[in-house]
Amino acid sequence: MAIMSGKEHGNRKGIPPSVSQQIDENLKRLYSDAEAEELPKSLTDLLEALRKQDAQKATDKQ
Amino acid sequence: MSGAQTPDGPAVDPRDEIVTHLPALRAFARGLSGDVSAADDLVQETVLKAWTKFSQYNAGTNMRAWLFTILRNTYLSKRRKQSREVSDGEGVFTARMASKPDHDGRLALQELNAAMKFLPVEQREALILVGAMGFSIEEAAETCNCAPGTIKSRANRARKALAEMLHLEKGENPTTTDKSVAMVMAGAPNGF
Repeated sequence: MAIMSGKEHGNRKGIPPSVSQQIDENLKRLYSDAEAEELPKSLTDLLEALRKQDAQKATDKQ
Repeated sequence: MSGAQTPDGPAVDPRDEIVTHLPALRAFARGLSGDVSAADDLVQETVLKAWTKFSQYNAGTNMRAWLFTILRNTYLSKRRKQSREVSDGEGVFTARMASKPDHDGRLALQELNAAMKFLPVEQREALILVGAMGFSIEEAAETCNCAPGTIKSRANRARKALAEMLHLEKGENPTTTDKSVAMVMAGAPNGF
């Protein structure tokens, strides 16, 4: 896989667009892997508990 | 908060949208904290705050930016409390970092991730949002409460620093041994 291989010379003000692009592409790959993971049960349980709590409050008000 | 009534009858709770942003929030939290467990704690806190302060969200505006802002502010607040500001340490890292491009894509991604942790948080968050997560410059500026030009500048400085750390800027092709790479990775916190 051609990855993180800079072939162009940078300058003092910036880096070649191709290097920027490589960095962004690899960051996207890194973060899309993390995004694709299943949500932990603790998080879905938290949302469920918050929903139930609100439903209970609404019932108590009636 | 009660849900809005739809023409078809059943109420729709706008907070139901929160769950759709959780995967991206988790990834962003990992990028900021550099730690899987701390990231999930951060997301939990964000969900709690968003849920309980949902009245502060303006319906129809960008919920993703709103949630990311809560997460970011929570992280920065915790970070200040823990008083564990980590300096850039760029020179040290540049000297230590050994890149092994082309041979193993997964290893290169891990090195990139490790290098990200050496960036100042302002640069790191800008690059994660714009470079990795597809935020527009304007959306990232809204999330980080700064000017669009600042985001652009921070992201560019982050890319330049990464290129230097990973020896990309000058087109170097360092020859490294598995041992040297393993030493770098062993010292890097496991964020992904």
